[in-house]
Amino acid sequence: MKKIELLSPAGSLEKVKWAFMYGADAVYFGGRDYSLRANAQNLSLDEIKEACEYAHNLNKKVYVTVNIVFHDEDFEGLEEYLKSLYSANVDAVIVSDPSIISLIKKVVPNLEIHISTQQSTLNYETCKFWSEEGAKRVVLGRETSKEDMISILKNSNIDIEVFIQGAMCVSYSGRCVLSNYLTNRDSNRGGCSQICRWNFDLYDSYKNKISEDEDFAITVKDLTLIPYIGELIDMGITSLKIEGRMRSIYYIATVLHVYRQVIDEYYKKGKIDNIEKYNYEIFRCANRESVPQFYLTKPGVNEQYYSGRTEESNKDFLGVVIDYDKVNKEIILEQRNYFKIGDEITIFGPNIEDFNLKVEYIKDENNAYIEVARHPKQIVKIPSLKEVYKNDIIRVKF
Amino acid sequence: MLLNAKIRLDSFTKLKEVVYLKILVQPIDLKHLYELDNKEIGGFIIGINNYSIFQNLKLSIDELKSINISKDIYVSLNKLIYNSELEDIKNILIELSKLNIKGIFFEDISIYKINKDLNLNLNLIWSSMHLPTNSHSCNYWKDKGCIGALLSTELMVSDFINIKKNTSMDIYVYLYGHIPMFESSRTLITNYLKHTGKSSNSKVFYMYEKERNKYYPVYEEYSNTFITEDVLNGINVVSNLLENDIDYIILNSLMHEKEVFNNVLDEYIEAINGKVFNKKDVFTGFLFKESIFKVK
Repeated sequence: MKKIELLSPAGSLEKVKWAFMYGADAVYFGGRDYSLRANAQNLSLDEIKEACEYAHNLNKKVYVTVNIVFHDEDFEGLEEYLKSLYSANVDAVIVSDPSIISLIKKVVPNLEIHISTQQSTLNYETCKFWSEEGAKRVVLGRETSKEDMISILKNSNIDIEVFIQGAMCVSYSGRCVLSNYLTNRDSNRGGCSQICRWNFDLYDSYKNKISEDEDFAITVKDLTLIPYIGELIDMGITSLKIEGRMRSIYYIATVLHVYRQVIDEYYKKGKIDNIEKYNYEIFRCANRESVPQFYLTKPGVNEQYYSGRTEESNKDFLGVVIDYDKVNKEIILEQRNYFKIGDEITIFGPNIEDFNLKVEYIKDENNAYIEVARHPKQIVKIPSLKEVYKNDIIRVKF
Repeated sequence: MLLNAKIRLDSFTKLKEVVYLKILVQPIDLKHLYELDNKEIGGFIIGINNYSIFQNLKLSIDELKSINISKDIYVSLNKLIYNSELEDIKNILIELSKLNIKGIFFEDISIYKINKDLNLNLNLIWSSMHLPTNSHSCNYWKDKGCIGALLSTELMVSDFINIKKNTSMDIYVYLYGHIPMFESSRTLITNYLKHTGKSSNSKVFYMYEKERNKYYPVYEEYSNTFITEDVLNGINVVSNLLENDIDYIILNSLMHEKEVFNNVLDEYIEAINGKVFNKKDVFTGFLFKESIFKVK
């Protein structure tokens, strides 16, 4: 049986490399145009080519989003762009506008097509349609339940990709233009200004105020499906997708590290222990609550945020390992957040078992002893008897 | 000849066809539908219970069968469809295929698939909410046999005209009524009321945004939540659409008093018969405004 794919977001070439390092089987990102995260860094054609070479050397895959809802003027240059993506050896493009399928068939017929979640595909008849159109895979709408997924897999023969982690549109994907009307930014062409995270006042039909101090919001909690990964593997899902092309390297590394362990553990043992631990690691990193959303039942009062929720910046990420000095048994790291002598830390990485450590001392780059590491990007050294490797992550111990 | 009639000439300057810009109305209820049947309009758009959104009048198939009017009937099936609803939707489409329905506005692609697989030969109009934004995709659906497309409300008048020029399918434009902005499969108001321990008998609520000092209508239906904008009124552009061969304009009575809506309809009938309007205090949405998507 083919192992399920763990698919990671990667908003830049650097993130592509981090994603593969931390266990992704495939990455997705946008190019500089035609992608729904218009304000993410995104990748140039040269970078896309480099990402593909890098991925294929590791026997991994690259998918490029071409998933805006096109206006006529957006088609200019698209044909050349699709040819360039094919020449760069991307493994598939993720599209939402059906006319792109016709264009791909005409100019790059061997380019694999995945149907974006922006189409909000919720049933097997629609999956069958996409299959007949030549698509290889459908990314299901995030409103599909476990039952829906089982039914779709039973009644259609297209590969199915589902979101397992990250932020969700409150609306059906593609069916929200709040951003257009409130901020003049076109949500379906990558300009979404996330109105769903704003606070409002609520009035009844007689314009009597119901809410208090703008405590009405339509914000929803994040999605997580950690406890159900085994079910998703068993039912025959092809790919497990993580949301977050604009998220940090720390987020990507942490989330992938967790899901890589979860997936591998299920294949090895047929069950997943320590679900609570995994959930907590994700919660700390995402800084938001995560729930299964539509997977088991329709979300209700507990899956929504109301007023007063502020996102504080996460200070858990303490540093990245640059090297390990085997002689002096010291970790050389680049600082990301403040830490001091006596702090308890956790180190994780793709090639080590997570372990905890108490910071016994800190040296600066010139080997002078210091009390605290307070400067971002500062190079410091801390002692560790256990060997670590470049790009392992150091965080606060929970 | 009606004032709104346009004569198209082919290359040999022979009379090719006579076309009209037609008004389609989404009425308030059945009584309203019958009252408007003698108006100079092209027809009515009617919803089907459980499968139509942003729509006042929704009927069962039996109720639909019993309608006896002179104007064309269109059916709007513009809700996204789940697996559990496929059998029901299949039966609805089979029944509709036996009736004299002029066209079906569809959101979910399963409707296209079922129509094709069962050879129902229903006239389909692509109307996925907010997605019909370019002529290429219109032509994609035309090649698949769809007769028309209901264009997204986030387009400019110039886009409508350009798309029409580049496709030979019928083009439908939503020109009057609250603009749909948001459709969620969650009960966002009920959740809030439960969370705060409050209650309300309102059917329609308002979300107030203080910076813009605006109230946005928000309501729940079928355990989904919908948010709309102000009432779009494109009466000033009717003559432009008429000149540029747009085929149909749609007027939606959702959240309207009958008298107000009827007055609006009368003005639109005057407009398609040649009266040029230049109203100042109307909300025109994106008809003249370009949306941006990349912050420079």
